[in-house]
This record gives sequence, C-alpha cells and structure tokens, in this order.
Amino acid sequence: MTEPIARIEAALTGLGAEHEPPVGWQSRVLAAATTRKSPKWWWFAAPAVAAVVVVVVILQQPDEPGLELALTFDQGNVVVRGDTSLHAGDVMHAAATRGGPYYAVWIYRNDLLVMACPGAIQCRVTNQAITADATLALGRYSIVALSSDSPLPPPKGRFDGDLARAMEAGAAVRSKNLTVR
Amino acid sequence: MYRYCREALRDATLADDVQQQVFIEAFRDLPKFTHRSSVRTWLFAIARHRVLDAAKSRRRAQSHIEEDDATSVPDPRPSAGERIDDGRLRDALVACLDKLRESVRTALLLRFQQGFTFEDMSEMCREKPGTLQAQVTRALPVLRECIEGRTGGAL
Repeated sequence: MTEPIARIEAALTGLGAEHEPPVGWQSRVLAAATTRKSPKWWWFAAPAVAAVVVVVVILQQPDEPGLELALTFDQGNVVVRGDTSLHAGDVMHAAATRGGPYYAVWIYRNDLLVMACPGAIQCRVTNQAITADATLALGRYSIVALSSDSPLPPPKGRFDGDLARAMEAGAAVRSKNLTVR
Repeated sequence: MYRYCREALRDATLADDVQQQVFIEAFRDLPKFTHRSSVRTWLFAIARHRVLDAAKSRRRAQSHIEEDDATSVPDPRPSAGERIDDGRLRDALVACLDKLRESVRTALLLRFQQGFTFEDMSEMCREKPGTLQAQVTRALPVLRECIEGRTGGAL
C-alpha cells in the first residue's frame, strides 16, 4: 500500500469525528418509537376492540368534552369538510375543543411548523375552543391539537420532535393529515 | 451512526432525522432480529437503506441544485507538488467523496470510517465481499487523483 493511499484511508477513518448527534436524540427516538408501534395485531383485533370501545363510550358518557379536532375549509364561497379536493389558496379552519387548562393547535407543512396557536395572529380562542385559520399552500400538512393539565413545551419547529416532547410532558394529542396538490 | 449518516448525507438536519428513523425502525423490528449478524451490522444495514432513501428523496426534490462545491476547495492552493496538510486533505476528501457514486461512498465509509469487514458489509449491502473490495480498491486511487487535482499538492 502506498503512503498517499494510507493517508486517504486514515482521513476516511477520522471523517466526522468532530460531529456529535444532537442532544436528546435518544428521548426523541423513544418517544417516537413508542407512539409508532407496529399496528399488526390491530388488524386482527380491530373488530373486537371497536365493539368494546362502542360499549364503553355508550356506558361512560363523559362529564366534560374531551379533546377534539375538526377541520373545515373555505374554497371560494363554499365551506367543505374533508380534504379530497384541496388546492393552494384554500383556507383551512382547524378547531380544537379545549380539553384541559393548557391547549394548543400546531400546524406543520412538510413536517415544519407554520403556525402555533395560541400566539399567532390567525388564532381565535374562546372558552370552548381554539381555532387556527391557515391559507393552504402545496404540500403535506399535519394539524395537531394538544391539551394538557400542565404547561405544554413550546414547539421548536419540527413535527416529530415537537410531538415527542409534548407527549413526554403528558399532553393529549389529536392529529390529522392532509395533502394539498 | 450519526457520523456515518452525516458524512454520507452531508446534511446535519437530514442526518439527525435519518438516525432517528433508523433507531425507531430498529426498536420496532427488534423482535424480528434473528442474530445472524451482530446488532451493529444489523443497525448499519438499516442505516444504509435509510441513507440511500433520504439521498434519493433529496435528489428528486433538489434536482435543479447541482453546483460544484468550489467554495470548499482550500484556498490559496499550495505550490505544485507541495505536500497537502491534513486540514486540506480532509476538506478535499469531503468534496471528492461527494463526486463518487453513493454505493461507492457508502462502501468507503462503512469500510474505513466504521471499520466493518467486507464480510459484514456484504450482509448490509447484499453484495459479494469481493465486489465491495473491488469497489473500495478502485475508489481509493480515484480519490487520490481528485484530492491532488483539487488542492494542487501531493499526498
């Protein structure tokens, strides 16, 4: 082996030695992994689970409304539900019922935060609900409603990390996804 | 793992995402791990796939951004024939790795940065050990020529 090649090999060996993974990656992985467990057993158990859920819901009427997330859209003068025909420029209204003393609606496009309510100017807060109004652009949206008995960690900007931190903090989460083409 | 993802992708944010994805996948698939290889080999096999996927997605999204990484060329150049110092070598090496095919870059990183044997790499890459060895052996002189061409010095 010639000395120049040995130098290249040595340089390859040390490549990136100065880089460390971002702080807290293990907890983010754990949080994400535990919320993304394989759903395979559900395929078989789903009918039974659904039946049990229906019975439980009927028997246990909740004293207070839980966290709910509803999306409606303005397309010109038409208000629609569902996302089958969404276009750039349509306006989405993401309304979440307030399930706890601390609550939020976070909207992500292509996994990056584009709006956080409360706080953004497009947010409306009432005693019962919080609504975020967003004009849609092309891309994949994730809309997340959160509620908690303790303060929510402020979002840092990326869907996975923000959601993992919120769930670690004990927040209840409802989310919906849609794509604007 | 992070070093490998970062050097293979040359993007800290993407490397962070891919590394997380690898461990999430590993966490999910751990019951399916058959112990035919070491855990490290198994993890890097997942990583290799996810790195290739990420690179492919990025290429599709940014196909219009194809510019020469001229800004990373050390400047000023040493005089012709002068020995390249380690800093210049590293910078030029990074730039030259970018010019290689992804499969070759992966093989080089797995072999030297991560220290895997060709047999381990064979399991990860689904290639014969001899094929990988040939890839690596051929790539080193190519890297040398590229590095010396970029820096104007001698290794």
